[in-house]
Amino acid sequence: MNQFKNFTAGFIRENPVFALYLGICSTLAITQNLNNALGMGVSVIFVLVCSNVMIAAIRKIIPDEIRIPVFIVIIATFVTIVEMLINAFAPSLASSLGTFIALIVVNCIILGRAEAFAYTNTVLSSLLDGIGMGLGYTASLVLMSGIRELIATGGWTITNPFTEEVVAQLMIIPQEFTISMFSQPVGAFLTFGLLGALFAYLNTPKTKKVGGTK
Amino acid sequence: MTKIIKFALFLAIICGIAGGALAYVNAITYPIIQERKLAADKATLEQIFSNGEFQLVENVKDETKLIEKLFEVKDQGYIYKLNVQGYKDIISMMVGFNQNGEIVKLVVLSVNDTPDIGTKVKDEEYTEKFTNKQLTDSLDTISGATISSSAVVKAVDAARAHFSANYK
Repeated sequence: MNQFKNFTAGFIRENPVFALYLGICSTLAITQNLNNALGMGVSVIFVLVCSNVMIAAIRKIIPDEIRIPVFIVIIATFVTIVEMLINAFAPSLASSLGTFIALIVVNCIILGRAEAFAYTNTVLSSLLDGIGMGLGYTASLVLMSGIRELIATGGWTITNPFTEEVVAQLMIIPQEFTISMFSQPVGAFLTFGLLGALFAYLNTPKTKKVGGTK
Repeated sequence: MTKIIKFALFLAIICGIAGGALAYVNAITYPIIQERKLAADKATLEQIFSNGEFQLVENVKDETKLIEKLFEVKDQGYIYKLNVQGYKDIISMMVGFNQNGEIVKLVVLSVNDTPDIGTKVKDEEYTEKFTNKQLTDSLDTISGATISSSAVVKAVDAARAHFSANYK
């Protein structure tokens, strides 16, 4: 039960993006469309799981005073591996995510989970925490990019990052009614603000209204 | 004191392992990344040097901003990919030099200028005049299509200037 809680925490209660406000920089930048969001999400899950497991595995031999440099070396290694793999096998994803792949290193979610969770928990819980938090982050990206792509282009297009073929396409809003502003930074901030408000509402404990009806 | 040495050793070991892992992944991905970078231009590169071994040169210093890409052809020469403003639109081309700086071949990839006038720069009749030109030889323009052909000459001259500065 406890393991399961670790896993589900990442979605709403401790959703890294909209509840903890971690990793916002990349979230704002790469959520123009679902493809980028999924690519980024998968990369982050990979890095998060690998670094969580690795840190949990060697947590007993890491000297306390130099734990942060050790975390950063481990995280940076996995990020560089992901970057090389994306450059080699998914060049279109590499060009649309650009520098934000390398910037996963400084994504607060990963260092945050290493420090707050993996360093004091077992390998198995850290693995689940990594998957849960990573999926929570991916779900946030998908939610936000889904809204932005829908409003900006009128629907969703998913392409295979390895072959660049269009896998699925769904158009809902006619072209005349799309608001292309939502693919711009301004749309990112608007969407982010509204979703942040929604999550704040969901996470507020239900208390009696103060000074309401008698 | 022993504590500091212990920490330093621990970090060194971690970095060593990380470096080893990265070297391993890099060894697998590096050739694929290089191949991908060439893939788009491969056909044209082979028009210029039919059996060359191509390698993209990174961080090309170019004040003219005309050089888009530079390829080294192992033991044979260099190929420049250039973009220059023509009469209406950007003209893009590739020009190959042998190791002495003689032009091997000029290939104009795209030109969007006035049909039958500016587009003459793409014809073999014009581009073959560039073949075997030395670094210091002057290049011909086409009368009647002066703007487009001057643009091509300007770009090729930029490539020649870069070649003289770096590989001569």
